[in-house]
Amino acid sequence: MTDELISVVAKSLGVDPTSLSEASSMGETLGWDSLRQLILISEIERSFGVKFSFQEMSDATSIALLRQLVEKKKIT
Amino acid sequence: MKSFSELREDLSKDPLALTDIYNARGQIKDLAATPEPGAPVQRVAVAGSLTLEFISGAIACAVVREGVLPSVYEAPFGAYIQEVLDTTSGLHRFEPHVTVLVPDWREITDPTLIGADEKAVAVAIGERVQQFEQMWDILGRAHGRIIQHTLVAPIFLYRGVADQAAPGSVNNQVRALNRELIRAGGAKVAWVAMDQLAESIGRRQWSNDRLYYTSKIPFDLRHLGDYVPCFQGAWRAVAGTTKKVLVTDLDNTLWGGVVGDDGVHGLRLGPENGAEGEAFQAWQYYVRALGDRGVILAVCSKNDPKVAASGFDHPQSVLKLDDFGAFECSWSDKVGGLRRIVNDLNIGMDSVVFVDDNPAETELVRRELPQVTAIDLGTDPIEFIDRLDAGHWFDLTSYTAEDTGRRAAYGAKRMAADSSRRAPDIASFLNSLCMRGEVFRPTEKELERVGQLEMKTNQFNLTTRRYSPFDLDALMADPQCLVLAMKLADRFADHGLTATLVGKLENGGLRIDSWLMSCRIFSRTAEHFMLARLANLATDRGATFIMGEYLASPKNAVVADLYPRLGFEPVSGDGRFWRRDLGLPNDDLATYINQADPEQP
Repeated sequence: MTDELISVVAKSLGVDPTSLSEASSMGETLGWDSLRQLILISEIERSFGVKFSFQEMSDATSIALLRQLVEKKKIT
Repeated sequence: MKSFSELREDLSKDPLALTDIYNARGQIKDLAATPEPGAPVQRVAVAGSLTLEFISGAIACAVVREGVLPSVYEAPFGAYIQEVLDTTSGLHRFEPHVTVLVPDWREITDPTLIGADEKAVAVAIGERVQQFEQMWDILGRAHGRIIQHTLVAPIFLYRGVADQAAPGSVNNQVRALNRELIRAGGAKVAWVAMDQLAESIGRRQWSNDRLYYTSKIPFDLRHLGDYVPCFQGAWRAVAGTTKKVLVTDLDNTLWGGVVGDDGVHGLRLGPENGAEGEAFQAWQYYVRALGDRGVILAVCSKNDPKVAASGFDHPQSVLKLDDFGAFECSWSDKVGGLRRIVNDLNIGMDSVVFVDDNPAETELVRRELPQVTAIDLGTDPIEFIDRLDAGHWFDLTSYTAEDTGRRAAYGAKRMAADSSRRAPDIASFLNSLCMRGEVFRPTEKELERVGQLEMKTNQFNLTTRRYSPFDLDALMADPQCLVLAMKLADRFADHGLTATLVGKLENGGLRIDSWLMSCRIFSRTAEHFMLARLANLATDRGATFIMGEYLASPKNAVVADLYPRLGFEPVSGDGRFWRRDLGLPNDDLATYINQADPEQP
């Protein structure tokens, strides 16, 4: 799971997966801006078969937060 | 940083993923900021009412795939009408070669019309169309080409099926706007058919209201990659690089089976051969319809010519031998066959789309003739139409009567060429064609065809200045300019309006600023016919000489010696300017073309 989420995020941001950690977040990670966030959400939804509300979409701005959300959605 | 050709290679797969497009957007921006020497850079402005970053990224990728490095300007969010109307705006200062207009149904339709009657709706639609015409005129006068998106209707309705009958329903407003805008755009605007794209994907899949409300993005970004080939179709229409010829293999491409092995009656074609036979026949109907609408059809097959031709005698064959403008069957490789076809048809290699069921053949053609678009049809005839259609290779921006006459004309050219093999000498051959021609000042209606020729004629094009319909309007109005067109017919076909010329009165003479001719009427003394008429008109206007001008392009070598052949003397050492004095006998301009009608310039 760890690898899959990080690799989807890395691919969406166009960065190397090893440059990312749980703490990586929008605004502090190179290339992760509000437009990249849209790509990121679109790719995560497609890869994990989940759907985010627009509130979740704007709140989930770090890898840790994205992971919480994906795990929660996958259980329910 | 990646080189342009590396980037082009990266972007060649289909469909492109969203991330690839967005990453490439940045790379293209960097490349265009400091282009390699000689890089084919063009300025492309994107203007629309919503968020443009993603669509402009896809546009940049599409342009790279067409071999051009775009420098992209994104108009400020939501202000595209002002950007176009205000000639001092950032968009105008950018001086785009091409402007892409991206309207959205939400700002173009009028919600207060929902219950209005037909007349009120027509008035409102007319006003909208007028506003766009005004914008196109401003962009056109600045010498730019225009591409615009059609509108996509929302998926919700207000009164169910009755919305279809209500003139002011949003769906009907969108439909009417698309129809009227395309009509008004004529040859001035090329369209990206977003409505068609959305419908082929499914409009519910296409729309994504969450993206609209949070980010003002008009459709689901998952489909951005599907947009790229659609845009390329529109780009080719404005760049004058639309494909003109479909070259097809025969066995397992136009019918199931191998005619040389299975015999004509062993071929799988038509409903008696089940799903496969029906699919091959449907594909033949599709190919024939492309021919009917003006795409030139040709065969390139490894076969014995007689045996291959017998395949068309199959009772279920929709295509017949004379549907094809060229027929190349031999046991040598297809690269040679394609070379002979472009030679016979007098067209450029880059206007060819080649389809084959054998990936080894398409691969060979791709490697040896990279200008040719080679499409691997696969082994399932049910997918053939979709595989060809997906590339938008033959998209046209406007519809003219000459497009439908073309196949008859090319079929006639093949018959005329066959006569040329029989005819003892060129003079009696040309005589036997019984040609009738006329040179005249084009009417408003004919200007669309003149503009189309300006865009797509590459070979017999002396200066490749590519005047748009806007430019031509201005030239027609200028008393120092002469805009002429020529029609030609022979006993095989009416070739229609197939040559144009722009002359400018300068320094006591007349300079030929633009002169072009469709390859259909090459080598028939049409150039002598036009020049003789031009000499009379120039003399009437007081000119004492005609100045010819030739600007070499990668494709117009065929006319490099046109002026010396027509009795012009070199003026400059570089082969650009040529002079022929008027008032001398012009017996050398005798032709095999008879005057069709009294001149009415």
